[in-house]
Amino acid sequence: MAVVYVSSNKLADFLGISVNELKEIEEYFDRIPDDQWELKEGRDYRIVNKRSGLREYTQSGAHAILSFLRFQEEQSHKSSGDIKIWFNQERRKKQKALVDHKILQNSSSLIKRQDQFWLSLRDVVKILGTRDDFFRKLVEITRKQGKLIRDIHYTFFNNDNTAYISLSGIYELANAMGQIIKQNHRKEWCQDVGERITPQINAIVKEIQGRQKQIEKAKDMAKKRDRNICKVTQRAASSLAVHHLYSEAHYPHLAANLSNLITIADEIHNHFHQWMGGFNQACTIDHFIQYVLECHPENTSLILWLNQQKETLGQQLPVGAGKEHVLFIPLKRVMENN
Amino acid sequence: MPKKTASATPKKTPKKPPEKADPHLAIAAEIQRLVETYGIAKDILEDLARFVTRQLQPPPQFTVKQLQTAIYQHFGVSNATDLKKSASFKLATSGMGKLSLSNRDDLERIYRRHIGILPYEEGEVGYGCINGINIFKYDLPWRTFGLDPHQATDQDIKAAYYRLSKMYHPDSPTGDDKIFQRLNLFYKSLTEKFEQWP
Repeated sequence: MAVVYVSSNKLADFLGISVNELKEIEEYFDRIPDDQWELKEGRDYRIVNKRSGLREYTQSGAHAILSFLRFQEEQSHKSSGDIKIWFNQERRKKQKALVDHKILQNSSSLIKRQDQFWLSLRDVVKILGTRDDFFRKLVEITRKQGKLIRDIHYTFFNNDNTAYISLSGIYELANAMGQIIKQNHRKEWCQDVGERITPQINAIVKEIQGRQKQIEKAKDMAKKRDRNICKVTQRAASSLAVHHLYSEAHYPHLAANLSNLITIADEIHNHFHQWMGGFNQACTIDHFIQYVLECHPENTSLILWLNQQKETLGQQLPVGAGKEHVLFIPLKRVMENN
Repeated sequence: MPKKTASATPKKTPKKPPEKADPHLAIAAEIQRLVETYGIAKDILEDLARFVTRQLQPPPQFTVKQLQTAIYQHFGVSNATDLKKSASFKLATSGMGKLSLSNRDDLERIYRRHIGILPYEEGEVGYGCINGINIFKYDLPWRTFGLDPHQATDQDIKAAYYRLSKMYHPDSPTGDDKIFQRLNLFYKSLTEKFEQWP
């Protein structure tokens, strides 16, 4: 099991002393080598800032400081049991953060249908941190218990062969998993997935909803930056559009990036997309450069500017070409009754 | 005035109440007579008798308090506030819509989904009831098909599904589309394979 470290601040706070007092104790420990008060680097603490000597403590290190305090003036009312509980709580906190991270990294299939959230089987297997063969066994056990009902706990969408598991399905599977696995740390993981998945999915959805606002904000900023004139014709226009150089639908991760936005006249916008073959085509900055070279070659400063933006944005992969991230899935996928 | 003594009142010999015949025996006897006289199927008459009895004398229901207590116990909490905070409860009831913890219907829905068959709904007969449960209230495929999950083979599931389908397929004279849809869903729930394993 990974060693849990706590910061000096947290330890001082827990022991009811100031950080300076803790430093004095550290100095006292280090002053006389090989006496009864010894703190060993690696075992009891690690240095996190070499210049200031700031430390993070392990459970044994925290225990040594507590023993010293009790020996000195019995300043602390905390017992060794308290230290053990406290470190256990810290370890659980860290594990929950890991569970949250695992959910975030493995929920790109997230979708809301029939008033509930669903995740693909592939994502659920990864979140529960198990193997395919074990998960198959788990599905059979849950089914024998009659707790895997189609359209409640699992489903298939649009003639797709991919099975999707609902949050209540994850509850049933995690329960069954908790009953058959023996290792405590895996049991804890299942328990933590059960505890964290609903709040984490809600937080993800909130973030996706917030992204739409960020895009609108970025569009306003782009208009301001471009002084409300069309950057192609360099003239004011009756109606302006803010165009995504890398299309919003295919490069959602760039949708709120100011470098990916350009203010152009509506007329130019429509013309560009016609030139592309429709609004649904996955346009990139290269397409836009090509368009300007073909249709507006006189605007050399724009070509320079576009090349600058291209360098800033770097190489980009459209959705589907790389691993999609849940934070950039379309908003409509997580909205009610889509 | 002299007090009346107990002995002054004449002793009444308590009357024995007239012996009431066991209604269950009477119903069974009548069913037997109808079967023999008219050749009606016994199980149909028994179902009807159970239906009439439940309508006239419905079994006592759980109170809201009893339902709440059972649900608190199931999710390992002691009150509604803790239940609302419980991560397990939130996860388990996701997709059940907005639930009120003081609403009898909602509490019964939670009980049915997560605890089991409500004692007063056990052995229910009537529309939508198969093998003693209402298939619209309960997602219990094994019970609906009358199978033991630990013994039943794929063939047994198929046979049970076909037997019920004959009865409830919309093309059959006794058919019912809603019931048939439900049976289909249960059949899929027991047999559907997740082909695309990661």
